[in-house]
Amino acid sequence: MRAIGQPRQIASSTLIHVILLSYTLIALWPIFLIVINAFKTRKAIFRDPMGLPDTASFSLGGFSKVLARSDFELYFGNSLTVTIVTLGIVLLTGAMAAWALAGYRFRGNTLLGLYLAIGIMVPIRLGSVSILQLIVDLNLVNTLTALILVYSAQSLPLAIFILAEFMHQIPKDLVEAARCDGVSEYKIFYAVILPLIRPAIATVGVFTMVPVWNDLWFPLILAPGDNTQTITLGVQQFIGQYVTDWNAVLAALTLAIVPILLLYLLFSRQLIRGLTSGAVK
Amino acid sequence: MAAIKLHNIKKAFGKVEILHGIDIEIADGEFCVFVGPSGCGKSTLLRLIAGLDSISSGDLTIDGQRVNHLSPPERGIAMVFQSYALYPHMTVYKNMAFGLKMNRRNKAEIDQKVRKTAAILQLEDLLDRRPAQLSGGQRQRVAIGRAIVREPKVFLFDEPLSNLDAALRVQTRIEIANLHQDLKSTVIYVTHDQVEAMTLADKIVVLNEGRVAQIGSPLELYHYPQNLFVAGFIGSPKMNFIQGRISSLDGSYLTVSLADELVVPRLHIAPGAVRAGDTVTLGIRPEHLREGGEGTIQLQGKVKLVERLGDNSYVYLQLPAGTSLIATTPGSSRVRPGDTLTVSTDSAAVHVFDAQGQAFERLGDDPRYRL
Amino acid sequence: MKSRFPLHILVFLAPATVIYTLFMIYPLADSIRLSLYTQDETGALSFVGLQNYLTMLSDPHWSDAFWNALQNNVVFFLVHMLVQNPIGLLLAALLSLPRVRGRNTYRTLIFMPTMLSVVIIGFIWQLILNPLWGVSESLLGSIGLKSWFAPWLGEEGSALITLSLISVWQFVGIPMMLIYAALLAIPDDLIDAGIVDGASHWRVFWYIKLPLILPAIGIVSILTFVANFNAFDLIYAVKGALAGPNFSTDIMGTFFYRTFFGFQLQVGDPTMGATVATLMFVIILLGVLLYLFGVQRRLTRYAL
Repeated sequence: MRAIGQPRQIASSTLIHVILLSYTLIALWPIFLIVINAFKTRKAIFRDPMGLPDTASFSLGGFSKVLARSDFELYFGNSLTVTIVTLGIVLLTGAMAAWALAGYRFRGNTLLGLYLAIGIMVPIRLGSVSILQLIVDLNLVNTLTALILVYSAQSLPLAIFILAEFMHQIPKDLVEAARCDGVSEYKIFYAVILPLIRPAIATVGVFTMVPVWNDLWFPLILAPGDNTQTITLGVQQFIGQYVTDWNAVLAALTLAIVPILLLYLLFSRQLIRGLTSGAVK
Repeated sequence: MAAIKLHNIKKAFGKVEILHGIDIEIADGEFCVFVGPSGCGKSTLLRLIAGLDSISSGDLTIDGQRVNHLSPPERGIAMVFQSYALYPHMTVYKNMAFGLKMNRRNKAEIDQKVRKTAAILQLEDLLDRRPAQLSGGQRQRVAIGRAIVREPKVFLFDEPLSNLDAALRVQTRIEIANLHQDLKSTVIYVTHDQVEAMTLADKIVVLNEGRVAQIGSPLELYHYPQNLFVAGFIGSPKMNFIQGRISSLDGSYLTVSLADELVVPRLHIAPGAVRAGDTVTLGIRPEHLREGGEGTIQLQGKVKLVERLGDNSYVYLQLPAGTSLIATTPGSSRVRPGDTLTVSTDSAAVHVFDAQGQAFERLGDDPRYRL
Repeated sequence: MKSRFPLHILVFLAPATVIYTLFMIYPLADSIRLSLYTQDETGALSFVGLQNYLTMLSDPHWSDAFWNALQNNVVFFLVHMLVQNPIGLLLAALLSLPRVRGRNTYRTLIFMPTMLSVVIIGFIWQLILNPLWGVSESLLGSIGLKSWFAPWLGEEGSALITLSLISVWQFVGIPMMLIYAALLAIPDDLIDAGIVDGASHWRVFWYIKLPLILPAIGIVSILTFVANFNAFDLIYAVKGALAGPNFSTDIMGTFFYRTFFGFQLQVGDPTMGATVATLMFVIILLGVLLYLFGVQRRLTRYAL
């Protein structure tokens, strides 16, 4: 290390920023390019793809086509329903199971923990053949319920793992004090534990919601019907159909990108804290 | 040879200034302790000297050379960290060899130096262990060994004993003192513990809120604290402070009246800009108060609590006006809570501080209260 | 311990365990069972032992496609290991240096593509690399490399590598984040000690930080492995189930999908699909076991 303010220090600091900035541009440029071109006329898209939309080239034609030719609002609603209900189920049942594992000693505790951990490493997709069969047998094909159940199963292992890690850090004294006061075990979970795990919910939320929202596989095989398509599947089908209509394709992509990016920027702090908190070690 | 000079050193993090202009001179071979409460800036100052943080303004010279912009190894310093900062993935041997390796010494030389240092610190049997397999005291010795092996001009210690238990702390303190006597190198040692400061230092720098409160030898600080802060910080239990007002002035002799019509006569101080009627604070060390009434100054109060240490007892008194007082009495004392007790001391033992907390120089020549 | 299992523990465990068992463990186990059967036109199952595996691995009708997909998947994985993880490591190392202004902004922006659906990412790059649009060509032209441009996604020789790199582009944020977290966990004192010992920032990284984050790099590697051998969405979105041109981008995920659901003239075959899934399971399991017993045991985690 050269102490601060020396030319070499400044040079290396500049180099660091050049590298980071270059990579940031590489990461953002493609997304930026799609979004700006979605607001241009077809001519402008091809004549000057790098240019920002101006008064001459501005056009919302793509968006009106997308909204007219597809059920975007429906797909969006479906995705929202599936994601939120899944999250609710995962948080509630996951927290309960995590508390059983973290808060009590019982025969088979470790074994059950390992059993639940299988799902962290083994992708649920590999069971698709039987999942489809099961969903057919349950008469749930082309329902959002099918997706919710499968996604809950997919998300539970990691959620339980993260929540249990978090619950291990809750001081035992808190629970024992409550027990001494004669509070029931259910009430302890509900009134003592649940409020305390609020910080972990952001982490679990991200690890649950992002893969569910973005998944293509299960919507494709379990719920490809017109009324149950999720946004990811809907966009995929729409673009497949209108592949040559650049305005529509760009607009569809932008519609799929922007809400997520806004949400991401809004919650990036919590999300990144969750990712870097070490809960995923 | 490594004399260190800090001239008007300032440090700001953003807009917040942490150190407000520090001037210190440390002679070659001196054991200098920075002491102060947490947050006083002592660790920041050490990091500036080490070269781990940049100096905002001022000059730092080592051996007459301005080193503000040199890297830590170029300054010829080695540091022992509070957490020891041993590399967890390296053996004791490699931990000690790392600095030499980074400075491109050859293998034979590294090996010879590491083994020599290990012998000094009795680490020979531990060379192949990793830090996780060592006890706290052993880790401490490795951390010191890692510093010694590089033969630095200056050793920097950042609260090195704070992670040890009480018994080990005393033992290590003695080891560090012995080591300094053998190596004769310059040492800067940061601690918040005044006992460590008193026992180890040739020179103590007391820091408070980013400024130097006083610099001096341990006994200078004990006998001649320049302000209320140093007076209260050095000494255990803490010096008693009593508010009063100058009732008369006779050359270099003061008479101070306290609440309850108590009068403290004949305080011998260097005459300065004092006037009758000024508010002052009197300071009396607990160990200078004794049971009974044979001193020139007598105080009577109710015993609230007695802490018995065996050799001594600390008696907590409350004076009628409400002022609390601690007196250190012999362990044989039979005083009990609820008793009324008279304690006394001599005028020469009393410290006088003005309303701003600055001390008046004491002039008495009673050898019990002088350097 | 009571002799009877406490009811409240049962109540806490039941819902999650039931959902997980029914929709994850049972299908996985049942898939393995199905791979030992064959199905006739009426849908009736008959037990055939390991015949499906024999067919899959040796009957050229199946095995050519299987080995092709496996080989492509290995390439897909290697590109991630050699490009994604080193870039992630580099970015994390730079971000964790002291006094890097704006590190949170960099981190947030670089992670952005990871949040988007693989399908969306696939389409974005399909457009950008489309010679009709010409964006890439003119961009390369502006740095004097116009002649380099080719319709990479459309050519048999480059499509797989291109898709792998698109996936790398999207997911670089994950190794970056995990390694960054591991770097943050290293106490500052250790870095300071290294600097006081005379090590440059580069040597501090090489001798102190890197050995301490090896476990995190190991975890990143195994996560990459599992994700890569389970990938499907990107290839399907860009190239469809046929993974063209001429199956040059076919990986295990797309092969599984085609086997299970059929394509063009071939009808879907659930039991062969289950066989492919089980083989994928075995591959992933082997990878994980190799990591756990071959690699992780050698990576000591040091208490920091």
